[in-house]
Amino acid sequence: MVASEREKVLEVKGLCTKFHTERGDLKAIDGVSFCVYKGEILGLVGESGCGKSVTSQSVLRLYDEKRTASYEGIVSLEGEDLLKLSEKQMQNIRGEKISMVFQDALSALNPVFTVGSQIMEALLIHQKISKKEAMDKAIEMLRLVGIPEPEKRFAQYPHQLSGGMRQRVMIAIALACHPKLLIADEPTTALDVTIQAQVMELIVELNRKLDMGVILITHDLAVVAETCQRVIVMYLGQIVEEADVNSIFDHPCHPYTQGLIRSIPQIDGDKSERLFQISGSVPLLNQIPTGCRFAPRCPYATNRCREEMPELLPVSETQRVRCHRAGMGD
Amino acid sequence: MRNFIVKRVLSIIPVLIIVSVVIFSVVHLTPGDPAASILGDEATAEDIAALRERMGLDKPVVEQYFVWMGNILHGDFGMSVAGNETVANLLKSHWEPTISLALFSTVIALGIAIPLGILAARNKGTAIDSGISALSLMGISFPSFLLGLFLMMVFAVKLKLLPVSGYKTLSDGFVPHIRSLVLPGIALGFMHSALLMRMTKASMLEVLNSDYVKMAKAKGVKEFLLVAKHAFRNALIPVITTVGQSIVGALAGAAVVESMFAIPGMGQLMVNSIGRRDYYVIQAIVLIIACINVLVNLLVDLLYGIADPRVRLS
Repeated sequence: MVASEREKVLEVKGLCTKFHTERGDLKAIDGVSFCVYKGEILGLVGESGCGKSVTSQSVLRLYDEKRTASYEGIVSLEGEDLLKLSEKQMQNIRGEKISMVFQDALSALNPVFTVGSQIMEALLIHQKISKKEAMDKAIEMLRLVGIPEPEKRFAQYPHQLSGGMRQRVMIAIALACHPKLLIADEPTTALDVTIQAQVMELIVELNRKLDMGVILITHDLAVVAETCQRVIVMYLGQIVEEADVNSIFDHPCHPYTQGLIRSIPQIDGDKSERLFQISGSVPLLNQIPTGCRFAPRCPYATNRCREEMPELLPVSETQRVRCHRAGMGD
Repeated sequence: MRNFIVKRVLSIIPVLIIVSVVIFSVVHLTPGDPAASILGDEATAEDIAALRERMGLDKPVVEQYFVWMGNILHGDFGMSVAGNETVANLLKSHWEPTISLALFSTVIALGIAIPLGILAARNKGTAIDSGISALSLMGISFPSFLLGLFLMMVFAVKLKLLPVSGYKTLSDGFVPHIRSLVLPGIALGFMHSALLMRMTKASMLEVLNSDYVKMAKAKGVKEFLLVAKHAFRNALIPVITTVGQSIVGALAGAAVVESMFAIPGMGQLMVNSIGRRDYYVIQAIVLIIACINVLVNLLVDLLYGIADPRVRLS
């Protein structure tokens, strides 16, 4: 695989994020390690509550560290450990080196400021330019993300734009300073299907044009198949499988990944057959099983699975799996 | 924006008409004959009939309403029964202290509520938050006259820092004017600050947890600007409504504080007029307070429009 020879933008090692709650500390993610290469799109998939969003927001250290959360591990951006930086240094990373696109643009754009001023703000924080230059750049960004009549849209408020356009504006804000890494947290979930495709196309196009790394968080495997080069599957705060996109769909190794792929509806499938679903539901964070975290829901679980936590081990050059059955020959 | 203002201003006309009809009806539907109560128990039937005619009470009610309204529009609120003075003159000499007190107490309420509300929201769950909550609970449960007496005792009688009572108009100089308002202003404002503080805290907490604040943080916005710019303006929107209500509340509720601090305002005039059954004065004061209420609400709506583009542009 060429990927390993390419330059790493982000390398995460053993990242743990703990939330301080009234009932004690909860580990929302536990020992997550992965990397993102320059110019690639890495898919991050899993059910709600599996820690996808926590992982991405921990990379940017968005949680309140005074009260809510604490981090452990290494988050290295081009060799610099972000978890060791001060809050002030971190402010220079956010929006400049790493940007984020959120799920729901209507709630993620500030309703009382114009679209233009929200793009300009990102530029004025990180670049030493005049307001006039920032304004020109903001309009240029609106044009780049495919918004018609950017001069007019510049002066409008978020509620005056359509859903797809708001999402484009958010992408424009995120990309204003040409970040090395874009984290897109379910960027199309709140949109209808035709707009979804347009927004995904835009992200793929800009990823190529600007040669930045992208972490695409989604639960839509179809989107993953179309856009990502590599995929990470998360379950209950851990990575259970990591592979290139072909391996994931051709021979998924972890029973959870297999379940996810089997539960994709097939358009030419047998209509009398019920859609597959993974039985049970994700346990709460304070009821994490001692052995393999997926064991209570796994059809192949043995006593060993229930007692001993499997390691994330390579099964091929591009695929790593956290399962005792892996490598034993299916 | 112009359309928005015109629409809002036009919408208060029917409200004012309804308010005037209600006030007129309430006074005229209350049992008892004003003429009889003015003349007292010993008046003869002829005297009462003569006064009724002079006051226009013998005419049909609808006609009376239009006469009354017409006079009011010309600035004529009738004659006070007790003193030989026009109601308009009485109002003229009493409105200023009440408005001053209401505004000053609102400034005090805001000055206490906004910073403390934000502080409580930023430090949720800590001792600071609990302390501020306790303070606001005290404000809600402490009656204004008790606080007024306490303040009077400490700052006027013991420490002799401020006048015990009395009122100085603005023409007596700015400093004496403010000095005469400090204690009654705090007594009145503290109560309103409690509610405002809770509103500010609740709305700030909601906004601080919103996606757009997180998004702003992800853009690299500084902690201070996150609160002061992105959160504050959004959090202020629901607070504006409460400020409007507390101004009206301060106006209508000033009576107790006014009599305690011997401030010759409308509250005191109203209390005295009720004692004297001075219908025209009561009617006029209630009408004015209702009008101020309507105007304050109009102002709140306009401020809303300035603060929130979604209101202005939809």
